[in-house]
Parts: sequence; structure tokens; C-alpha cells
Amino acid sequence: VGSAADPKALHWIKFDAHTGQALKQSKSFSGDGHSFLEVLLNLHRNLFAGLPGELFMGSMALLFVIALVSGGVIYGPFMRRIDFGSVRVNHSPRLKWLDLHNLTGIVLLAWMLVVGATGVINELATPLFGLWQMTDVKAMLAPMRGQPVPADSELSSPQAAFDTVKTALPDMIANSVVFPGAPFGSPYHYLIWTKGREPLTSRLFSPVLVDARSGAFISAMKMPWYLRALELSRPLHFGDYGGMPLKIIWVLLDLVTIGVLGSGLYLWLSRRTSSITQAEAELVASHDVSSPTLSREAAE
Amino acid sequence: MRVAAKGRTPRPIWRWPVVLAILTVFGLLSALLGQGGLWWMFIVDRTSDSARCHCCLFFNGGKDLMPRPKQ
Repeated sequence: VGSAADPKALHWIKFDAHTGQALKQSKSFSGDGHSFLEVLLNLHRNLFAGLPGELFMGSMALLFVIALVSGGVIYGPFMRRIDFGSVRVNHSPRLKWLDLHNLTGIVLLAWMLVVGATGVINELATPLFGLWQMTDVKAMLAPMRGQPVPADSELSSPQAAFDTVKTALPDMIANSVVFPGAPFGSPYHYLIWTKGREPLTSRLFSPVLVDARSGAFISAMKMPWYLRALELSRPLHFGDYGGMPLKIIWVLLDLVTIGVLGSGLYLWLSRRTSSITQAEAELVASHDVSSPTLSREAAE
Repeated sequence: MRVAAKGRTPRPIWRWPVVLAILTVFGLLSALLGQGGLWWMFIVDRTSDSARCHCCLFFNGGKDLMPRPKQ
């Protein structure tokens, strides 16, 4: 809610769909972002640096994915001599940490790839929405270019616009209304965001345009594939779609991932003091002594 | 822990990682697609991984828990 003349006054209001009572009202968008979780989210998303911060964090996510792929590639050679799940604690500390790194890393590899790849996509949200506005939205609004923008007194009822959408698209849930003139809307229309009723389609939002003067249904816009991918990547990145159990799992997996990163850093920093080849040689030598069977196999 | 003197073929090396990856992706997508209850497989999968790691570390002196052939 707000006027285009004063973007800093923009804020959102949540209404009870049955009674019309205002349930919650946000601060102005410029005043948002001061709660603990908002600070952490902004830090995670863009380091408080806007689009450059988003692109930087996106490139970090891309490096993370590249590191995961390269780790997966070199997992095979490291595991030629030992079984899955082995941790050689009776040898050098570096060998033990190598095994722990390999074990936890390979167990979480698929999950980390999903979170990393969806993180890259999420950080491209601003450019992707910009692309959509410059192409699809611009093309849709082209016939109206040059026409006078409706004054506040000319606007039809937002409730009527809401009802129009509900009638035209009975299978969809009207989720929110963007008033004419808002930055991410149209100057000539109410833009009503709708979503499906199924678990999957409830994650897929589609904008519907209603003429701001007449209240007539104009069109339901089809979202491009890259914005669909963005919408699907959000829950897969944040893990907020399976209730509290999934959130707890996400926290645990995050902690283990930090352990994988930390052990990888340790292995990299200690690479000059001991080589894996030396450690492997030490291991094989130890089994030559303690396991004659193995020695015979090796000799064969 | 068993140490193979000769290098092993890719199949035994990648068997468990591939199984875990399939279970992970299946669990994540089944939850997202809302096919009720299937995502608990993801929890079981993750829990079993976690249990395995903990057992390796704390209860078996870090030795492998895979079945060993009798000698």
C-alpha cells in the first residue's frame, strides 16, 4: 500500500479474508530489516549490499557447487582401498580427518548440491524479475502506453477486483493485491497474485491483471520458465516446506556441512606437512605386517 | 575396517553414495510435491546416515561397521 510519489511509504497490510479486519501491518519497506532473523537473512542474501551483494553471494554459491562436484570426482580415487564408512582412527590425524571429510561429504553431497544450486538461482532473483519486466510485462503493457494513468478517485474497488479474479479462476487462490502504480505492478491495473491449491502449485504464483478503472478481468499472465525455477528453488533452498521436522533436519545438515567445510580447510592447510600418498603407504605397510592374507593378495 | 590391496572397481565404491543420493533427492521432491508421508523416508535416510557416522566415531573406535567376511 502506498503511492508511487512516496515509495518510502510503501508497506503491506494483511487482512482477514472473512471479516476484512486488518491482522498485521508492516513497517515501511525502507524501515524493514531490523529484527534478528531479518538481519541474518539480509546478511545471508546480500551482505546488506543490494544487487552487488546478491551477485557476490551467488558467485560464492556457484563456487560451492563447483567445489562439491570436484570433491565428488576425487572421492573415487580416495576410496579405492577402503570401504564406505571407514574412518581410520589409528593412523595420522590427517588420515582420520580425510576419512571423516569423505564420509560426511559423500553422505550429504546430493543435499548440498541441491542447496547450493538453488542458492545460485535464488541470488539471480532480481535480474530474473528485471528480465521478466523488460520483456513479458513490457510487451503486455505496450498497447496502453501513452494513456492517462487513473487517478485515485477513478479506481474501482480492490475487493471487486479480488472477487473478479475468484470468479474467473475458481481453481486459484487470490493471495495478495498490488495497487496501481506500485513499483512492481502496473499503473493501469490491479495486479493480483494467485497460487494453486495443490502442494506443488501452491508454490507457483501467477499474476492476474484487473482493469483499475472498470474492474474488468484483463488476463492471467503466464510466468516464464526461469521464474518458475526460481519459485521452486526457494523451498528447496530454505527447507521451509515440511514443517518443524524438516527445519530441524536442515539445521543439523547445515551444521554437518560446516564440519565438512572446516575439515576440507584443515586438509588443505595441512597438505604441505603430510601427503595422502605417505599416509596411504603407511596404512598399506601396517596391514602388510598385521594381515598376512592381505599381503598374499597384494603379492598376487 | 577392510583394506583392499588392489584398487576396487567403481561399483562398490559408488554403491552407497548413489543409493543415498537417490534417497535424498526422492525425499526432497516427494515432500515438495506433497505425496503425503513419503518424505519421512528422507528423515529415515538422514537419521540412518547420522547414526552410522556417530557409531563409527563413538562406539566402534572409528572402525567401519560394514559386514566383514569371516576369516
